[in-house]
Amino acid sequence: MATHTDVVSTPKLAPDLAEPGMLGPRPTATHGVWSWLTTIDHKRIGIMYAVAALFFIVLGGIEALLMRVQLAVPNNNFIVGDLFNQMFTMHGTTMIFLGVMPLTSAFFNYVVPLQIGARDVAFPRLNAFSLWVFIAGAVFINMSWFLGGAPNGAWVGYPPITSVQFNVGHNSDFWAIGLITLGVASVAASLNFFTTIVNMRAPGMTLMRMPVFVWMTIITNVLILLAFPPITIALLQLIMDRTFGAAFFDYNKGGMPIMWQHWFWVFGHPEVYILILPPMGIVSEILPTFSRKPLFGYPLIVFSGAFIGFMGFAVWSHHMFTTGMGVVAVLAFSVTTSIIAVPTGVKIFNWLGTIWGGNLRMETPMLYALSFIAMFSIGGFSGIMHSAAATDFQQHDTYFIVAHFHYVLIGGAISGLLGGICYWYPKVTGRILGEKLGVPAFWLFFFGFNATFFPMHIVGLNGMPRRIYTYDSAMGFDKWNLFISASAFVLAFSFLLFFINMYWSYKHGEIAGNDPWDGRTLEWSIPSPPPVYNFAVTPTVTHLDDFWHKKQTGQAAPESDGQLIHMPLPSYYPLISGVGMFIMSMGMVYLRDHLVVATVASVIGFLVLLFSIYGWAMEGPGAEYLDPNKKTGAYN
Amino acid sequence: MNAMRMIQVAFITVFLVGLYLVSLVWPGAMNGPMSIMEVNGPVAQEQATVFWYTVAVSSFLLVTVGGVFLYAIFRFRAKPGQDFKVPEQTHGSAAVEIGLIVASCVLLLVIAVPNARALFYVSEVPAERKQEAIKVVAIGHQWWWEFQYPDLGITTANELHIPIGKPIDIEVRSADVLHAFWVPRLAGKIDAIPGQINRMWMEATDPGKYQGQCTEYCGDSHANMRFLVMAQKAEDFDGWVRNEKKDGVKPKTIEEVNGHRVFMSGCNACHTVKGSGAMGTKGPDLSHFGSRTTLGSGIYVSNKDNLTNWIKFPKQMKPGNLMNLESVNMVVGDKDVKDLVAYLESLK
Repeated sequence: MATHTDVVSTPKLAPDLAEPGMLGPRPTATHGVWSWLTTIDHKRIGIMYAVAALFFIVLGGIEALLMRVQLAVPNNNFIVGDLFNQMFTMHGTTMIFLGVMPLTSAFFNYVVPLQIGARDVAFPRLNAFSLWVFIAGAVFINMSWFLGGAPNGAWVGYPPITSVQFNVGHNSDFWAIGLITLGVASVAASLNFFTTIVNMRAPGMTLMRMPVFVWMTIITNVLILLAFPPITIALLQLIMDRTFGAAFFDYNKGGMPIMWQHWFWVFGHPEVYILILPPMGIVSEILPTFSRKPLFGYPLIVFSGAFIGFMGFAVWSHHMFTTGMGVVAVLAFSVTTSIIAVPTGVKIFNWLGTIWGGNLRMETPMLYALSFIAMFSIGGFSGIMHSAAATDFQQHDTYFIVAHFHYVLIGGAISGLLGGICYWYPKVTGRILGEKLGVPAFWLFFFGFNATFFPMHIVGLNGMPRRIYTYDSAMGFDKWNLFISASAFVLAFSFLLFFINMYWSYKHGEIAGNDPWDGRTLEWSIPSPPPVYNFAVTPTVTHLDDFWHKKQTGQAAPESDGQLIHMPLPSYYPLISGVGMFIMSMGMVYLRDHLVVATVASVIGFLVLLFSIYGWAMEGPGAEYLDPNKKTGAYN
Repeated sequence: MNAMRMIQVAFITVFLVGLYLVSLVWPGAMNGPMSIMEVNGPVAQEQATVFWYTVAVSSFLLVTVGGVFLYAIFRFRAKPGQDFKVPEQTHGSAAVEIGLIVASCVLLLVIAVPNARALFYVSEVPAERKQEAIKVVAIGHQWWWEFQYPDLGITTANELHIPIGKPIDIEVRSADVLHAFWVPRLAGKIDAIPGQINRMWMEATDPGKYQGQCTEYCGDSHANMRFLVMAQKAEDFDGWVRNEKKDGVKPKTIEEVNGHRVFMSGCNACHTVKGSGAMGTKGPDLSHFGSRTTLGSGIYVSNKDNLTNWIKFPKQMKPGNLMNLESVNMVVGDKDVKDLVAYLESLK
């Protein structure tokens, strides 16, 4: 897959391959599998994140469909008991940690350096490390399907159901250790993007000239940085409980099960914003471009994003209204939760302000962005409904909640992300994502989604609890459930069409050129797909929506001045660290059963990780010098 | 914008808003046994009232924001053949922003006030009614409910009898993992957490059977952890209490005597039948099993066939079932099962 214009590194200035102390040769593959496995190019890493994330979204979707088959009719026997519990646990875990988060990461990777006028992220090899550790963690969690059963403690993993007394197998070990592995990847990536955005913006791009997507990226990554430590601590405590008989969450030994819920939701609520802020950023890019107007109230959109992120740490207990916290605590969290509606509303109002008076082009990215606003708003309204704790006592853990968060996460996050794929697909592949198939796929998505999830409000208000694998026909849930299950397949089919369209357009799509949408931000000023170094000449920024401003005032993008461009070299070590993490995790799972063997395996994995970090440190980034004026051959 | 387009916009707006409202109040759509919209007690009523406040606010937002949104889409979309000109590059308006923020805060207050009032009301039995309250301890087990009446000295399972018109003061506990006690038509839920005592209250205004279900995920048979609340007139309730206080019926027929013998060869390790010598506490109290209408925590009708299958194939009847004869080393033939069923059914 050609993802960048090939360029030659000049013979005079050959790559700096050798560094004193290097443990082995550097990778030299320029094409094929090895070039992808060793790449440190943020664009290629972004593509790999996207491919992996879409794969896991399909996997999580299949799990959802299997559940829908079971729930289609009352007292069904298709998937019952523990297997159903594994399905919904893995559906939630997969969609959140292996689907939506990596897909947002794909956008961070591909788009952020282009939007801030940088040639790569701050730490390119750390970026590859994040990718491979994510893949290691994702594969690791899913290995559990073949090794005695997948996690079955729900995506929230509340002890005691995940404690060893009630979960004798290794299901929850895979879950806890896998999530820690994924957390390592996320935290490394968040440090990387934070540093990139703070340090590597093009000259003149002040903070308030950054595109909103970049703003949402930096806020999201601060949230990741602050939210993952609590969950990591909690997961370690759970592993201690399970493996070494500690008592953090074991009531019989003096622990407190409720502590887990606080730990989890101090992470879990910001996590929700980690999932939704990047799509909000994407939508904030698409709307101005397709309205041909600047974003209405740019500073307010930025500040309300930051405020949402901040408030995200002050509302966690609204997931715990029914745990008996006491009426004052419940009321306090009820109030803080409803306050979140204000900055969220501000964003929606400003998006409306953006399209108001514009010249709206209804192409697929815009359709998805508009559907984001509509469906995210509906999810927001049901959110206001739950924030009233008195009535949440009824709605909690019913399908009303399931409907709410799918409106926010599919209607919101996935809608925004699909819009982002349509929007930046021409930049990534050089071809437009076809409208002929794209528009029907969108409408199928829109109606399939609403037909699947809107009725869940109704069955929820009719009292259907979530996480149940069966229900009685006398409860009045059956007709709607059959309808929901049928609609779920329509929704799934729309994704199939979307993927077919992606494949077809990659082969036969219309050639996009640099700037197919009449874009406003820097990524549209460079070729599609961008060359490996992104910008032949680092742009100088003078305005918000700088590229639009330059086009309107007739300033051309500067030509290359012949200066050679310094780029870092690929490396084996990030991939090897991922392998090390995988082996180490595998060993840790079995510590309870075979102490010696498992310890040896863990130590081997750790040594592989240590070796790769050592080799990585000794190797140095290296350098190659690329000449933007010579466009033959390839190196990278 | 021409008239045709205006009609389109109006049509779609009405359709979407109508869909939303109609589905919320669709007659018959939400009146099932576990409805939280059609309720039978003051606590659930209070919660439903707050719900309607939230419906009012969110419907208002849906109509206004949704209306503006749809209008903007139709009004400002690029029309085919239209001459393109760059629209005015407006960047925002402080007055509009501040106005909208203030308006949002005011709207939230519309919900916040009734919510706060309702929260205090639903959290505890009102002080002036504490005297007449019936105390109940509800204990969640994997996967059934134990109900104790500490003031009456009764222990039962899966069918909670209450008198109508009296507040029921409930203490919710757990014996193993998390559960949640929920009877939607009577009151919102509260979690059962090991090592913690949670409280809630409810009251039924009409006699009847109210469906309850565990709503906090608790393992294999979470879906099968149901129960019934039998709200009765005061005299019926008193009659039930008198019967419950008695010992289990002594076996009379030959079958029942043999059934009792089988029961005492293993079942007694987990189950209690008052006065029979069986004093196990792991499983439900069976002293008056024959008077219950359901079996297996509200998932089967209690009858001979279901009970026979329950004893012979417990794991098929309920995934993960902790009730099984292997765990107490019981081996029983068909004749013994038949007698055991006869004995259990005699325990009225």
